[in-house]
Parts: sequence; structure tokens; C-alpha cells
Amino acid sequence: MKKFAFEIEDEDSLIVTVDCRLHGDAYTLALDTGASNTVLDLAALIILGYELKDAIRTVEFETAKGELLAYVFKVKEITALGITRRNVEICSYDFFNNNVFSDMHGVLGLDFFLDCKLCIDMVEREITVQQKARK
Amino acid sequence: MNILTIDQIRLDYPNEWVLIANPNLGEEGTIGTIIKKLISGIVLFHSKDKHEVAYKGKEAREGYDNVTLIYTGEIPKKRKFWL
Repeated sequence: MKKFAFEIEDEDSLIVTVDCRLHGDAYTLALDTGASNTVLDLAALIILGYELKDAIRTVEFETAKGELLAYVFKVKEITALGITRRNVEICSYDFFNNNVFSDMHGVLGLDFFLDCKLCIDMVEREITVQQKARK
Repeated sequence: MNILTIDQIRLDYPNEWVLIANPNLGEEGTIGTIIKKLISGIVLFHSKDKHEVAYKGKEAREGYDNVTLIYTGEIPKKRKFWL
């Protein structure tokens, strides 16, 4: 079991941010247990050398703002909260083109935790993650 | 290329998207946004246009194993999120 302390910088904007390594590049994701999928800013993938033609398909997301179109890439390696996924399908959305202005580079969704027990302790400000065999 | 502190980066490239190589993020394993953790790094490319940084950044980063992308301006506070 791995433990990670987190801080909430502003209780008016409650959000838990998580360090992410994408092929070693350092980014910040928002931990989003309401999101079915992990979504990265397209810019992070472009910087790594991915191109739009590398997307294996597109998907439509239902969001509070309506339906959004995202690209799905097969990403070589992504690490967050001590868990590394290799050759995994990750959704990507063009934040800049769609006026998403944020110091975060995406969201870490439930698909990242399919084989995990995930506990977010808002009182102790601590996340525990334990990988388990999937049923 | 010179290693700049985050204060120098903010001063030299205000309100821009900045691609930074070999970012020094302090202690590994702590949680927080990159912009809050960044201590220093090498500026590879900067622009007000994030797309330009992304597309030119993939060439600029050649020879560097890891990079990060930050915005040096103010992100609006007290935002409500419905992700």
C-alpha cells in the first residue's frame, strides 16, 4: 500500500492534484473519481512527439458543458500515485483550442484504478493506493 | 543553456506558456501542481500561444529526457470544478 499526503490550497476550489509522469515528463493531473477516463491535455502528447494521426480513434465525452470530442492514443508509459501503466489507451483533449485554461494538464480518472483500492481521506489529507488482483 | 529559478522564469517570461527541461521539483512523492513545486529548470521555448510551445517544443526538447509545461501568469482563483 502506498500513501501520499496532499494539500488543499483553497477550500473554495476543492481539488486534489496528483503528480504524473508521462514518459518521464512532469505534469499535474486532477484526481477525478467522477471521470470514467483519464484525459490529458493534447499539448503534453504533442511535446512528446505524438501527432494527431497517431490517435487510434476518437470518443465523445459527456460533460457538464455538453459533448466533447477527445482523441484516444496508445501511450507508452504513464505514472501517477506510484502506479505505472504501459501501452495504455489514454484520452486526450485540446485544452488550448477549447479554452480550458488551467495549471493542471488533465484528469486522472477511474480507468487508472481498475485494479486498485483507492482511498481519499479528506480529513487526514492522505491518499492510499493498493494494487490488487482484478476479479 | 542556463538553469533559471522559477522566480527568474516568471520575471523573464511573464504571462506565457514556458517549456522547461530538467525541472527541479524538489522532493519526489509530494503532491501539488507543477507550478507550485517547480524550483528551477532550463527554459527551452516560450510563447503566449500554447500550441506553438507544444509543436515547436517537440524539437526544442531533443536531448532532454524530461520536460514540463507551465503558465507563468495568474490562473483565476476560487474556481469551481465540475469535471
